[in-house]
Amino acid sequence: MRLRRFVQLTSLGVFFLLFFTTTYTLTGVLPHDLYLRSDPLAALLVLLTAPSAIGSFFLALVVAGSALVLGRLFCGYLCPMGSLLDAAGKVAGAPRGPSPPLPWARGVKYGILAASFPSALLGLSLLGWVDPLVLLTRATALLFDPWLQGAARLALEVFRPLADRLGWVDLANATVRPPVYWLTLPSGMLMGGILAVSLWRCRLWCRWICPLGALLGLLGRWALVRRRVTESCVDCGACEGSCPMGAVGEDPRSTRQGECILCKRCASVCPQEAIRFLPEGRLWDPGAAAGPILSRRGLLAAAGVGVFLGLTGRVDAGGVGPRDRLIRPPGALPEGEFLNRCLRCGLCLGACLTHTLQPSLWEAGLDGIWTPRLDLRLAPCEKQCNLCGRVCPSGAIRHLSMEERTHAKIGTAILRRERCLAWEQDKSCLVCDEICPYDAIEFREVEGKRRPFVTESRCNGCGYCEHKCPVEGESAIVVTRLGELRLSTGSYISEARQRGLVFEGPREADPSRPPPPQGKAPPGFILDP
Amino acid sequence: MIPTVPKPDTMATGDGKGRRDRRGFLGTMVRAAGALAAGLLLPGRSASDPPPSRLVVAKGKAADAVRVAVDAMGGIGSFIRPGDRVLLKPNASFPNPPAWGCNTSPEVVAAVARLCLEAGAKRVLVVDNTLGNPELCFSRSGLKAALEGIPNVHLLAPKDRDLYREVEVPEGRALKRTHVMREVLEADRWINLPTAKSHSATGVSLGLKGLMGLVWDRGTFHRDMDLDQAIADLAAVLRPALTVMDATRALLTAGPGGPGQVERWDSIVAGVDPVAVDAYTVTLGTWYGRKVRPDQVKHLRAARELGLGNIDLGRMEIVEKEA
Repeated sequence: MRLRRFVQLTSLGVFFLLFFTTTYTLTGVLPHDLYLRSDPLAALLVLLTAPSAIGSFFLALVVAGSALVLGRLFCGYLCPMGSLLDAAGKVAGAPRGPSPPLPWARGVKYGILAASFPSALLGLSLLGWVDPLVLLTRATALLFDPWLQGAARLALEVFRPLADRLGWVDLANATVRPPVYWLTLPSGMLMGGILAVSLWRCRLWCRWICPLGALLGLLGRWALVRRRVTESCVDCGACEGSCPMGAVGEDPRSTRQGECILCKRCASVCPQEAIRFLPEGRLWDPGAAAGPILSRRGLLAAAGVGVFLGLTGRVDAGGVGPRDRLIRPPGALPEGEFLNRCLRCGLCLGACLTHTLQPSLWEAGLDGIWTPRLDLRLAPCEKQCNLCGRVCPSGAIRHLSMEERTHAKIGTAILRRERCLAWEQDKSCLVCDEICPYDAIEFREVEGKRRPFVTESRCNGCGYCEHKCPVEGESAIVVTRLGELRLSTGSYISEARQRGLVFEGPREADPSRPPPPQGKAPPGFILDP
Repeated sequence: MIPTVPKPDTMATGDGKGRRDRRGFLGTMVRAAGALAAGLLLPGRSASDPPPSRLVVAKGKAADAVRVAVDAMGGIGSFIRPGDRVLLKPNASFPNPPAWGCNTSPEVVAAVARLCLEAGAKRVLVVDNTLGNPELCFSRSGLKAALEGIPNVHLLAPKDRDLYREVEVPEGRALKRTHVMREVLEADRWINLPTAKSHSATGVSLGLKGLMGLVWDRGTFHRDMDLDQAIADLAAVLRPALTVMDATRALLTAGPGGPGQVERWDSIVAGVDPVAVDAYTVTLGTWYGRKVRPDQVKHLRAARELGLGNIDLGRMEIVEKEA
């Protein structure tokens, strides 16, 4: 028992540690996507439509293989969601023992599992809605991280005078800027719902809903390590009342094998010490594999729901292709492949240096909900950053070297002259030009006035201009998908060069060559007539 | 997070306040007309001549040139006293490597920080309200690595509003008040460490333009007032003890962020008169493909008119040194 608590808390700690170290200082040593890559459900659903992602999911195969021998051990010891629910349940005193008397409810998780396959095949991934590791990662990104940073900011404000007095200059001048997200509330509500049902009855999420648990339960149906009750059982029923999963059958000698998470609580409360987990004598013991699995009718109904959802996802307007203003992160695969691979886990959202990455609502259609998109009015995409691709567990965003990333054009800025201060109001505004990291804004003389233009071949789509444009409300310069580069394989550098795009560094002056032609003079110079 | 600009028409209402505003406006117009007339009649003579300025130009490797230049200015001891809390203001606004020429070279900043410590400075703060993400700017510019391990040197990018204090600009013609980083106001002495680069709005971004890295809201400089005049106004209240210009490289086009044409000058320009240091640096380069005189740079001319320093090379004593 103590060992299990220790393992669980350690696993939860590692999960959060890996998340919270996905900042710019990320060294590449820590496997920030460890848990998501170990998720057999995510692996199966992604591989269904994107078999080439197999390389990302080696660990998931290990976990799936372990279930053949160890059943739902992962749920009881390693799953961070399970650990969190156990911890919360312990604090709040969630009742253990039999589940509320809804005989079909245990089948729901198998139903969700059964529905997710046809749905994913036909065009709608349910991962973002039902996978516990995805849900927890995203809740950490969209809810826990902003909370934590908000608290840190508050603490800083309170302690700043003290730090000043003590001469702790660095602390006194530190700045914490909590990230701001769309969809924090919906994500929090999903997490809150999971927590709420699991406080009503211990781990009710794991018992009834979790499709990852269902998958591991199915794989572990004939597991070697399992609950076995010896002859000395006196039918007292102590085990049944202690089980956090409601896995002990009405006859305490029987076990709902798909439910048992090997926590051994039953063994610890048994007055007769009649419960064993390791095989004795006969290894093969199929008779004990009791427990409900979805009925044939239930299975058909679930598959039907999956087909319905999948077809709906396909005919949803998102299927006609992404909207003009849907900007994907640099290195994102072509849209179809991207949607197939993306887990909707939000690891990229949490890692994003500027937090321009936001979860989509309907911008990418029904199937695109929770997928990352850039909100460039909110914040720009940093030129010197490739974090989203580095943390992506499934390769939906490619891990690009910095030079490759600089060539992964994500869109093109369009000047909306009717809103532009320079075009419409003759103001000497040139914020877009000043801020552009790619030198893609050019001022030209038009009828005696200096007017900004976008040089499409230099524009990378980073959105610094859209972010900084001082026009109130919608920016006068907006980034659209026009000209975005989305490559499944191959080099962005050569593709960009082939298309005549220029994303270069500084031009060192060469004294042997003639000086560059005179550029347009900035307005800060008074030129001789 | 989304930047907004107050609507320009929000003050023009039909109530008594609006009338007061109109009267104020008329007064402003009369004063402006007077100033314009004076300016036309007495070009460049609207303020008394500042005393002549002394500049040192040192050529050589960055760290050595800094030392030679400061020594020729009378030594660091004539600017920093033992026990001083010193602040250095490099330009670290962009997350680009030194070769791009848009940030002050890390060697220059480290060399000045070491000099200050040698003079007995209690602590040295290196600050900039960076345009880009501070952590990225500090690491990509090489500043963080260069200052790491030097005791009592702190690299900071204060960003919170309450780390800035409102300052009046009594002499200001465009800028009347602004929020200035409080560490600058509390420092005993501070040294400006600009880099030589071009700027798409102001032509050049040198010491004076770099002062905008010490204010809270620089957007208002661009939006709501004459940028060139506002920079000069700011220089009236933010006066460094010394300016050490990093002219080891110069970004001659596509400033302030690059990528543009970079030239190696291997020079350090030091002086007490911040306007003269900028003015002399202007004469070193071919900006956007053309030679420019200091009096052709609007914000330098405006600073001269406020009497903040010299832009006429004839009024500068220029000492050249080799490191």
